[in-house]
Amino acid sequence: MTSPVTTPPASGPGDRTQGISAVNTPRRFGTSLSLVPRIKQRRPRKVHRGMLWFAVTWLTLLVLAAVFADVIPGLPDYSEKIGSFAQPPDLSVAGLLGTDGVGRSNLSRIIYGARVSLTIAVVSTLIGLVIGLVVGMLGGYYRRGAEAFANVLANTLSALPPLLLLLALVSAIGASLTGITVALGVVIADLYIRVTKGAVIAASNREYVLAARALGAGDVRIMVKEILPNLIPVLGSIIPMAMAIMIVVEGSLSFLGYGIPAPTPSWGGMIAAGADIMRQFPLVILWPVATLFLTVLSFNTVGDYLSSRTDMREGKL
Amino acid sequence: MKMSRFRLAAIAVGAAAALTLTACTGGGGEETPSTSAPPASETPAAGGELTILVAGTMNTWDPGSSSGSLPGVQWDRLYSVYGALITVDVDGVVQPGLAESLTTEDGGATWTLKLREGLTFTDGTPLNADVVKQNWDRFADPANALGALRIASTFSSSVVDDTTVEIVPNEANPVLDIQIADAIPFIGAPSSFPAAAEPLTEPVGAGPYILEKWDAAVGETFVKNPDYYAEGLPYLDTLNFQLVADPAQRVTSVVQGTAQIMNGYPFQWVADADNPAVGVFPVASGGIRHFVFNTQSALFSDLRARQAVQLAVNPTELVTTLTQDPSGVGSTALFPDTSPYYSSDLALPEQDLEAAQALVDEVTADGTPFVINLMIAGVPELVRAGELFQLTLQQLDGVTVNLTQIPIAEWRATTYDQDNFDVTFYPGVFDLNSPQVGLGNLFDVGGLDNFANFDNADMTAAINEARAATSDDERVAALKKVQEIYVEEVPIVVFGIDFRSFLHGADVTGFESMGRGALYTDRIGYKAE
Amino acid sequence: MNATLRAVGSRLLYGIPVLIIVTLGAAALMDLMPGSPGQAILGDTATQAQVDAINAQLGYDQPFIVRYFDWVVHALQGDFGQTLFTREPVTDVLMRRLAVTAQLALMALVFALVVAVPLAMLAALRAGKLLDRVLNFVTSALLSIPSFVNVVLVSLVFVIWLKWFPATGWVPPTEGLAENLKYAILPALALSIYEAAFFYRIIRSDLTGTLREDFILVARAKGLPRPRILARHAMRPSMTSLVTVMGLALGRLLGGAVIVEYFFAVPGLGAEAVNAVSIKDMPMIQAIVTVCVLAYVLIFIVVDLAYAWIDPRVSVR
Repeated sequence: MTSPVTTPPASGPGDRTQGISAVNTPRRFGTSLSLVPRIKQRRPRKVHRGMLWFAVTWLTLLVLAAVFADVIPGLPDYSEKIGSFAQPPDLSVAGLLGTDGVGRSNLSRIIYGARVSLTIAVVSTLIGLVIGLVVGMLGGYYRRGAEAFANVLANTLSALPPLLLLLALVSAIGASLTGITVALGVVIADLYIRVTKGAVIAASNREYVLAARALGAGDVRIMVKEILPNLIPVLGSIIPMAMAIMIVVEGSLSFLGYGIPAPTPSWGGMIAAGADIMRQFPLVILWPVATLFLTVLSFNTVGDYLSSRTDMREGKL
Repeated sequence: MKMSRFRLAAIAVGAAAALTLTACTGGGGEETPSTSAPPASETPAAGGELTILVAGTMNTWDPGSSSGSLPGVQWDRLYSVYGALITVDVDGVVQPGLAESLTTEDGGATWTLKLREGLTFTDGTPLNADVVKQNWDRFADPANALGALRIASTFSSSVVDDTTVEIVPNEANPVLDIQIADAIPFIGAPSSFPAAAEPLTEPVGAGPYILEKWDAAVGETFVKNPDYYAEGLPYLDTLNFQLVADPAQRVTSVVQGTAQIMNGYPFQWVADADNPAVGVFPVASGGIRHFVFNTQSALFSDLRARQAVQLAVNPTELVTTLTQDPSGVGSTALFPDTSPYYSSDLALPEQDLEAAQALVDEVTADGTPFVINLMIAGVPELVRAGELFQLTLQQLDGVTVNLTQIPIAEWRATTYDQDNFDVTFYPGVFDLNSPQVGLGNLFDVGGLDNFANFDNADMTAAINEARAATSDDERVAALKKVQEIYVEEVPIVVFGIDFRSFLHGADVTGFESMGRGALYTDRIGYKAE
Repeated sequence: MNATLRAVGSRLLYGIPVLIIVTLGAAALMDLMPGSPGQAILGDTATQAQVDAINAQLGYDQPFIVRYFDWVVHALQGDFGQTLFTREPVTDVLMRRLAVTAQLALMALVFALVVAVPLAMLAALRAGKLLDRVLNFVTSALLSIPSFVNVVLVSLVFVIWLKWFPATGWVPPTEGLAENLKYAILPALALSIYEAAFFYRIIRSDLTGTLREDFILVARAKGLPRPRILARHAMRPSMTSLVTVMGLALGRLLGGAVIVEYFFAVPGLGAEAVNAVSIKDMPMIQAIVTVCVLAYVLIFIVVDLAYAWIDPRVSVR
């Protein structure tokens, strides 16, 4: 009779638990040869239905707008001056959210800024994920030296204050879209390393893995075909929240002056630009703040939902 | 339990309400900031403690380390501890200080500095001609790596008697007094000199205050020097400098009353323009807002390229976008219209996009790609101006503008020393209180602020005439020539005039500023009741 | 006891390679960044020759491996060098800055706990009811607000609107505790917003899980009053998660309070770090990095030990 060590579910951004997250009992992949029936207790869904729908709708709209920005009728280019600076909103598409400090359309800059923010979120997540999966998988499967290496790498990355590391990396690589994305990916990698490693360790001891090995499957095949698919639920629940962190951190970088250089719009850059005229023209900063907030909220909500679906506590008999 | 739920919600609502409230009462930027004439300066009451907010850190107290008499950086604090031999006021007139006079009889070939009698440093040692020479020799020694090297290396000095120093510039220099007053008027006690290239950490001066506490990341505290040469000065018992990096937070602190003085520009406190708790003191001399062409770059060594860019931009648009003040007015003349040197025909041509396009086409037809590398210091107002410049210029066919943003602390080094730019915006305003010196710095070969790398024989001649002018008429004529060459050659483009100002508590008085805006910190104080 | 000592020892040992990699990486990264200490010291009016002279004097012209070993040798003797500009001993300056940041971090943690724990208990007791749902939404929102927006909101409410606190500034506790608190409360509050929401969610989700366990049912059947059940029986298993996230939060707060420190003009470690990176103050950067890694290792040793002490089922590996 085993009592698996459980740790709190990753229900908040930035949570980097070192322990092992409870893993879905595989239904589709492999067989469960356990002789002891397990009682699965579902936690009640924490995510309000309405909020979830809002979150999904918002994110979908955002992605669609970002992808099809060029063909939205009446939407000017983000560098185009459509009027005087800091104009209040009017009824045209271009002026729907008014103008910014230079006289460009806020709506346009928010939508094109979504491209930047979403690109950064996705690509840096991918970079972190790749690093995390490879290192975590090898470490969790082979243990010993590989695990030690994974631990050291993860600890190194998380021992440093992230903003400091980012500033140094961005100063060295350069404040371009590529540079910032790579830097962010490196900084978030430790989260993925830990989660992957923990999940892989737990999965490696599972019966279906032992069975596969008994059937003569090679290591790589086991890793890819047996273990990897079981990581998806766990990773799926932290990825949205990690993406939210990426967007916020890019904003912080821009706020400190190390972000995407002008004139490419980014939400953080818009906030930094509107900060010094906030007292006279609060609307200029309101739109990017609200957009950032709603986007991060939506990511967090989706992540919460996914984690509440996959995080099942196993009871003891 | 119910309380906490409501309290949380109330806070959330309150924050939202506050945001909208400020939006309603923020005035929407329609009001013009009050630049009314400063109140007749009352004599401040003796005593009190006052805090000035600054943005620059003091890393060394070396009297040779200042970078100009600008407020909010090192100058105010150096003046507080060292006082000054001489200073330049907003009208460009040299004023006595620790020295009674610095004069020349022969058009700048030799100068005589006359110190006051009986000056002593706070450690008791005398401040005499010998000490002055020691300081100046130290400035001129390259091993000490001081900014003062630039000016100090242009002359040599000798002691005549206890209070007289004779100065012989390497070349006749009719404006040496202004240059000294603007860069190296500080004299320190030799006992405080550090080893070569080390920072000076314990200043000993003869200034109005004595340094009591210094934490580079926080600020400084000074106490009154009872032996200061000027009777009755300083008024304050204690003077604090506090470092606050964020400009909006500086404004908030002064409005709130936790600090009493900050320096900036009127556009930074538009929302508080009518607040009775604060007052505004503008530096009367004013300065120009401009951007600079690198006249040695491949593209902008061609006059047509410079003219094209100048014709494409709209100065009023630039100025209002930079300051976010819709009432701003663009101006392309080198002087404000209140200046005796101003002339309405000495301004650049109006915006003309067609003419600009024609010139662009000419330049590109000759084989030079019209690619502009625009370098901007990463301050919000300059970024706005730079982005406006970029989108305005890119309206023209064949023009590309690449905008690079660099931290403001690195701006000068990158643009002055390294020259890897085509256009850059000068941060802040460029003061012209002593135009024969200021414009010399701007346009003369090797000038301290000649970012344009401008090298024009006629201009140099005109500037030398202005420097050597002994009468107002001569100076006006010479500066007229300078302006004519500016209009003809367009090494820089002026787009507005602005006035550095101080936002201060309503109960503070005694404001007098030196030429480029630094305050006479020994003359400020609280109003007598 | 032996096992505990061994565990502590092994974690400390783990810390050493991390320390080496991090400090080596910092030295290498600084090399990649543009600018030089000489340039920063002398400012814009210096000639290249003067800059080179200063750099030579600081030993900056040597290859970075030589500089690194020099630093290691001195560091092992406790000498972390002098700051770039003012030539003060780095250890002195660092301790001053660390004290400030540590004070803010501890205050923020206390604020967060004081708010989060009672609310989480309440919400767990009334899981699914109105309070729980409202708090769920509110904390979701609070977690989605980036710190640079937090500071502005906090300032707006407490400085401009309520006028309770000064906008900026710092007075150390040695010069009067009341004065010090006046300046410290607002930044600590700004920092605590995110942590409070984070703690709340972790504790609440853990508690609702724990409250389902059989032994709670037994306690209820025995007739124990609900508050007692909550405090003594239900919280105990959740202590492990709480301790973990407190450790994470402390690590995060110590290194990441950059924006708060910048905005409120507080002379803390984060602001010092950003400054050191921008002027390439190598001794200071290395010292900060060392402190961060040491703090990180220590925090997790304490967390793991507490973990083992709280939950007897877990043995420290």
